[in-house]
Amino acid sequence: MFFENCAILLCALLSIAVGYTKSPFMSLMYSVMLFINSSFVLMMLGYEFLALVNLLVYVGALAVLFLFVIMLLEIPATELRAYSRGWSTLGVLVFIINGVFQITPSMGPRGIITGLPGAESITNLGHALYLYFADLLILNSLVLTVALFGAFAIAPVRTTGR
Amino acid sequence: MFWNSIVELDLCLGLLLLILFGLLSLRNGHVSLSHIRFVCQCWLIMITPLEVQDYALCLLTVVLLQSFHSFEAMLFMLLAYIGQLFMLHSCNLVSFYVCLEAQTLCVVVLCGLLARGASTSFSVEAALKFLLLSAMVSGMALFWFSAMYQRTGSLDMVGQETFWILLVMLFKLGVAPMHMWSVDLYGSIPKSLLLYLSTAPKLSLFTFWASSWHHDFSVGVFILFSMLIGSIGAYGQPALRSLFAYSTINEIGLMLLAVETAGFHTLYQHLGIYIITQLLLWNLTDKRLFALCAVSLAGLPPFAGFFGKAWIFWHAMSVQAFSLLAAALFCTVLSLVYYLRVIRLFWTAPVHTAASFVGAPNQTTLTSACAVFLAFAPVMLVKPFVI
Repeated sequence: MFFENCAILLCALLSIAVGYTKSPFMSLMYSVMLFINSSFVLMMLGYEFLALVNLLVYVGALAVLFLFVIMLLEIPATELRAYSRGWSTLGVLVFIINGVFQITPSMGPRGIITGLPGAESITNLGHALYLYFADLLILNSLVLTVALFGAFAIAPVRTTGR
Repeated sequence: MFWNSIVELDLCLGLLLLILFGLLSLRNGHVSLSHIRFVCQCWLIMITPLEVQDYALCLLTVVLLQSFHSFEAMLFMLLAYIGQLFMLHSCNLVSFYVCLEAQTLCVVVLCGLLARGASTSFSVEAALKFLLLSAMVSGMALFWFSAMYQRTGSLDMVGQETFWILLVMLFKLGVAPMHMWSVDLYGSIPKSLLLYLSTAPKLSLFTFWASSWHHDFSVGVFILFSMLIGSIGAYGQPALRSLFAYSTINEIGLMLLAVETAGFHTLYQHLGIYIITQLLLWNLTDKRLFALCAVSLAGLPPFAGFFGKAWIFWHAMSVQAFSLLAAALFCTVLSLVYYLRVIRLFWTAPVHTAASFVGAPNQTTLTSACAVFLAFAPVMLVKPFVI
């Protein structure tokens, strides 16, 4: 468990570094390292499907999206003003206070096992998504439909300026 | 859990057919928007009601659909209705989160959709503010859901993480330390959306709270904050909308008092009277009826608002929550003055109706029905105080 704990500590340090740099490009680089690290931690804990999905979605879609934003707006030449004004330091202080006063939840004894104990993680995921929480899956698809329809519905209002 | 809710999920199939019907038949010259609106309202009535709140939500949405003038807006309203219907009966944290996201996202899309003419940038700004704040807050809620699941292995609601999840629920209601989004939003969205935003989400959230949400600490701090900010904050406001936004915060504080003293019957009663007052308030063509709304909201005796507040105070007294009761009475007196200002301004104003108000005949029926209810409902409500 020592190696997993070290990897989780690296996650924490990288996430602090994402907010505590001066250049937005380094922020993006740290966040890509964070995504890969989180996928690594999930793989070590035994959740292979989640690890691969994390890699695919976060690095493959979100990091590429942010990279395009930085590329098109030509951000590397600028500097994040929040760092030089001291707000980033205040954020790091919040992390330290969090560590001192234990505001985040602590890991307690885990006695309740949900799902099938002997099955693989993807079997458990399939049972949860399609058997136990199937109605929530349909409701979630409703939320995605709202997001999709909403993007289509709002777009003509802005361009024609009705 | 799937087979328990298959009848309500059948509603979604009906919604699909409704979308197809609306999109294909609006091309025809003989089918007008009012026909589509009628079919939407018929679809709404095909629910399986288990409690009074189902009927109330259905009726409220049927009334609210009257004020929308485009098919896409009605569709988002119906999608939010499905989310709220499931939230009324949800007993699991994940379903609460999904339903909350469904209705919040529909409100955000409606904010952007109903922007027209000169107020486009205001509406878009309001939509962006609401989206960013509520997304951040929902993310926080999801973190504490997973913390609770990690600690106890179940998604039922016990434990110390309920405080943070309660903060999220209070944010969505517009309770006072987290109320700034509602004051900004009330000033910049069109009236039909304001009508929806101030009534339906509160109904579904309060019903979820009253039926399935358990926490073991008191919300007294939030009650005090809400009532103080709601009473005092309205004094500097030049616009009528933000004045009534602060009065809404005051009323939410009062409803939290009802929840705190576990008087859920008083909560629903006051919520019902409040919803009818809001329906009257944002649908007016005759300016003098603003005075009637202000009298009812202030809690002055012959109208129904007095009895909503009186039942809550009576229950608080019977549970012996005397300090909260004293604070609530003090803040009600403080808020009386700005209501009196509204009454003075609007009762003595010259009578003129807004000439360019679209859809006037339907709204006149609604506003007169609400005004009659506010004036004559006390006959039904006065019994415990007389005998």
